[in-house]
Amino acid sequence: MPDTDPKQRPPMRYLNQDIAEGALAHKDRIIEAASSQIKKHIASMKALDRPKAMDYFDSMADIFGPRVEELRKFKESGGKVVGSLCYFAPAEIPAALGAVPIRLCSGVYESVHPANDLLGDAGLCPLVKSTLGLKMATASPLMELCDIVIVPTPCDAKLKMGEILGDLVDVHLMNLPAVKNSEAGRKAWIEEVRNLVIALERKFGKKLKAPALKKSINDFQKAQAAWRNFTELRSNGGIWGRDALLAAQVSFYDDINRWTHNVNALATEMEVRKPVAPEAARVMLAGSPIIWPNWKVPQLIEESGGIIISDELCSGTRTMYDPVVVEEWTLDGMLTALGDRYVVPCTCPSFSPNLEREQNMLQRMRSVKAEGAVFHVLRGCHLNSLDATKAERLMRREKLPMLKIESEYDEGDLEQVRTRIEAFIEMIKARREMLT
Amino acid sequence: MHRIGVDVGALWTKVVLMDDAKLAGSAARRSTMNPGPQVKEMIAELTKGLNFQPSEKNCAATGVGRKNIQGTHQLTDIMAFSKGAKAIHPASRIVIDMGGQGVRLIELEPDGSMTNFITNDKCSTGTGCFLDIMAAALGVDPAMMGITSMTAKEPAIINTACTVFAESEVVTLVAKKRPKDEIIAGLNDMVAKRVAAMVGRVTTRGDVFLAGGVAMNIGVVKAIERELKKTLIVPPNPNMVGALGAAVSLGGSGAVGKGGAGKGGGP
Repeated sequence: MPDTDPKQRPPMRYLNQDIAEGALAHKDRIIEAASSQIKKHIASMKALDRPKAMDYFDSMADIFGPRVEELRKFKESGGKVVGSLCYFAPAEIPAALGAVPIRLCSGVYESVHPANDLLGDAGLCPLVKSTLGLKMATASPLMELCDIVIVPTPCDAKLKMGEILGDLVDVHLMNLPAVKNSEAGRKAWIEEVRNLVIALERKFGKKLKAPALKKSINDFQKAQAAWRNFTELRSNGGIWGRDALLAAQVSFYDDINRWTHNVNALATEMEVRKPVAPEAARVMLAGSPIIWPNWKVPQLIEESGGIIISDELCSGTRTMYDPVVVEEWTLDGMLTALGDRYVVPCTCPSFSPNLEREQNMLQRMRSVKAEGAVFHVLRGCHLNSLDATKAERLMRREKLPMLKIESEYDEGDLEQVRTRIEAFIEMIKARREMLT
Repeated sequence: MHRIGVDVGALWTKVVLMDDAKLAGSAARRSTMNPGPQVKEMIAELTKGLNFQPSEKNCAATGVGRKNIQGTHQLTDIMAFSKGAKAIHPASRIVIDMGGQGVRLIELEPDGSMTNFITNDKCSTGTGCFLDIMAAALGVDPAMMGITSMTAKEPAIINTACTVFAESEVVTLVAKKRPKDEIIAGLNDMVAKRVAAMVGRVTTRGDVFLAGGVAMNIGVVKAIERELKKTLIVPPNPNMVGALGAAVSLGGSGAVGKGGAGKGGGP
């Protein structure tokens, strides 16, 4: 492939030689810091009462670990890997073309630094900077295996990251409509899904066939069914929120059928598990994506007398929740169904109006008996910050406490955030006494 | 029964002794790097002759340094201030704590239960630290900042909220021979505007209770009252509210007797 040869790539527009070389100097430190974070968090999760089936997800939690080796071998035998950012790129499509889809959103703290070196104080969210920094420093072996990266454009940060990443890797942008509740928006998005097919077909020199897409959709439907089942069982409190989040996020890069099998094993265990913390304050976690190993907020909640009983994160429950509903198993019918699945039920704050979000959140909180919500906003994620205002209005009206927490990818604010979360959980527990 | 409340703040460590619902004594000292022994000493002095043995039953700690005070009941400063405010003034609906490093606003229901709180983050403007730094830049005793500002004919306008930039603005104003009382009044106004903006963000209305060391600055209190067009409830020793709330959290008595929180020494 001529376009994967660095010598054949177009000249860099954002990066220059100095910045590119400077970024590489961060590589070892990024890997070391991220590995130690992963070890630390796994150890603290293992110290708690948890399902045995979590062992599998622990074994896959190392983003520099066993899955990298598997995919390296897969590539050596001629396989292709397709990276994507966000939730919107239908993974079924690259999978149907024989490639392995992986989601690249990063929760690594240390890699924001090379991105800061490039961008200065651009006010971008740390998730985007971290992802960009990993690529600049070539520190993520998973990302290095990608032949192409699909970048949907929900927010300014992702939109421009798509362009900047183009200096380093092949990028395919998907223009996400901001207004989804219109026929025009829906049509435009389905057209984007078709364009993705064309781009990947061209890239891999291979045609997308209906039977292969059907098989791929079926595989993901099974994953979605397994995840929905687990999500329902989770509300009995038999698992810590951090464990559930980790299980969700292993799906970002795991073999989808193996992941489904392990989620089913987890669900089987959940059927008979007792609540891990019956006295804990039941917290709904909402807001900006929380990506492994950025475990700051979930860990603080669960160390301070709370349990994350549910979440509405695109990196958590929403990852695999909604099914693809196919009416006609033609190529066209399947692509339409995929387009709808990734946009219609999605409550990403990039959409306006996005009124279902807080309504879904409230409904979910009622059904799992959540006692309050923590709305986490990554600093620089304006869209989630705005949605937090709206969610807070509704929560206040419904007499449910909500705490908005702004945070970044570092541990500098750990104790400040801890104080707020502790006070919030104290408040929920004091309220409990008043309510009974 | 005697109870002790400890509030290990960022700048000052406060201890109160309660005898049932009555405040029997209080003390405040500059916080140190090693609050454990300091607090032990303060408790020993306050409880001299009482045969008082600190335990989780009769001693509660709050504030940023509370985890260093072992063997006590623990609660966050946010909860402690809500309890302290309710004990002193049961009709409080909004509690503002202006402490050494934080400005916090707490919303209370009519029954005294907390429903929401907001805090400053990553910015020290309006805190005790901020005012201490400005006092140092002006060569004024921090405790005199309030009184000094009362003679100002026209408060200076301080444009920036950043501590570092505000300090350089103050230095510039001094160089331009602007009277100190007007500069201080300007600082107090700026702090008050930020606090008023916090109140504007919440929907609760009703009595506003002001606590924390900064509430001892009469200039800030008056400026907030002007901004909110409302008289604030300021207890006689506003810096003791957190420690008092900690003591109250141990259970037992409800409201604190009139003038109770006023006795005892403070800085």
